[in-house]
Amino acid sequence: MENEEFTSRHVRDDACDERERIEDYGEIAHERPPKKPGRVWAIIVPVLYIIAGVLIGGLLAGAVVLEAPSLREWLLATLPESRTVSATVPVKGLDISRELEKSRKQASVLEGRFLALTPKEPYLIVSTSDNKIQLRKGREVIRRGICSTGSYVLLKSQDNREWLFKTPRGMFHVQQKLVNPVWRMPDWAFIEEGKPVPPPNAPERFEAGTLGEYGLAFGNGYLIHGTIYKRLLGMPVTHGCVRLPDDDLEVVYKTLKEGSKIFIY
Amino acid sequence: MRRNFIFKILFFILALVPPAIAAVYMVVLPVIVVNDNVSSEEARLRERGGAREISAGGSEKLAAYIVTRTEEAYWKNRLAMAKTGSAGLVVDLVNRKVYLDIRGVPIRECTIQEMKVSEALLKKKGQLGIIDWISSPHVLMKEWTTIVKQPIKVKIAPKNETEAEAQAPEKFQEDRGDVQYSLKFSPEVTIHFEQVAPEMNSSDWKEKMKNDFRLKWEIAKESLQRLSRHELPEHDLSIAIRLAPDDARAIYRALPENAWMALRL
Repeated sequence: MENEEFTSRHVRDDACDERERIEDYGEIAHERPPKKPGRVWAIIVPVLYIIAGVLIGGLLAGAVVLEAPSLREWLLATLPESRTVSATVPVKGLDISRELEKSRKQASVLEGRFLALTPKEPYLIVSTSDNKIQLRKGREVIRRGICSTGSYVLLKSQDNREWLFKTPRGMFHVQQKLVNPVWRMPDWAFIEEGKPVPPPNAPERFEAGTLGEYGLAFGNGYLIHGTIYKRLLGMPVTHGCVRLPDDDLEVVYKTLKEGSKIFIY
Repeated sequence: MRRNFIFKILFFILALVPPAIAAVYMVVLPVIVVNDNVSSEEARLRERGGAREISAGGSEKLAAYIVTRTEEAYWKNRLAMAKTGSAGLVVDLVNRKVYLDIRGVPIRECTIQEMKVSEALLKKKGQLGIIDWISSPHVLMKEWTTIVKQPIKVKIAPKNETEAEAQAPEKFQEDRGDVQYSLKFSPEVTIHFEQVAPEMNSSDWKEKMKNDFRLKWEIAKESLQRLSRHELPEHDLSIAIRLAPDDARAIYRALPENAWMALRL
């Protein structure tokens, strides 16, 4: 009885060993083709672990690299001063009174020199971004108002010519003051309307009344003038000139002289 | 079973080691490694001042000296910008203002609604090295933005008057979209501008995310390039500024390529 029991346990143990051996090393897989899905998983699961590890590690490392500036910022704010970048120092042993005084004087001189750059005479500031003007004298604003500036339309003609309708930027001077200016229409004015372009000084090029009562030329054919399209004031709709409402135009015309500065940005 | 355990360990190693390495090299080391470079300003002071001892209050004097020298540099830089014909950017953190200068005239003055200066820049502010860093105008090198510089619209000219009449009248499109941009200057400093109370509709949100990612990607690329040269990534000197939407837009549109900036800290 005892002997029989020993034998059957022995046989069971052997069978278990064999199974483990197959599971662990797949040694005799060719002898007994895999029937259980567990054997395939034994290969797939570890591979999945490795792939997942690589992917997650890569993603986390990428996130750390991308967020490094914020993390550095947080760490800098958290760590005590002594553990981070070197603080002021090591000039503590020097007498800098003289240098300090000299620097104070120099800063004051430079500030005065800078403030002197602001014109004493009235000047005009035009913002093409929000289509507004400011008439100033020194730092004081005399008048504020709306205007219309370049539309940023890029007109392409049938014969491959191009015009970009933008208002030039920078500092300009009033070159000429005009009363009841007449518009000499350039080529694009005809091309834009599908009309044939007339010769340079043809009478149909000249149009009176559309530019308002006054005009201030500031170079390259650009003008500050009035408009008949009053509802479009405050919008970027012009071909590069600056259009003003009648009352503002009158004030600007009467305040600015030839040579006065115009700042456009 | 033991085999699976090993793979689990391997998974954790693969998942955690790369981000840990990235954190050490991209975050921890750049913050704790002490910068021992002696600034040229410090060398100049040593040369001029000799080694005379000063009495109590020396560190206050040094702090005052740094403030005065940065003030001197600020006015000097604005004067240097005035000599160019282009619009320049002035960031005055002391008075919480941003200016646009042309030829020394502040043509637009914007109030900073909210601002945040990076810890690294705050620490640099107290160091002598800042005098070298701020001694000449910063030059715009790169920009990341959600709005276009010039809102150009292409228009094909009609072939004749009939076609011109058939064309629908131009519709004025208001310049909408939240404004967010980052300007990277040399010497190293990045200014992030954003409008207050953004509307954040889905397209704005998408643009903002894209813009943020582009900026992070650029910084990460530069940091990795530095690491490949066996150098640690630099501290992030940055200033985040929130302005009124019109101000934010106008400033971006007015700045030319390679614009100069004067900074007052």
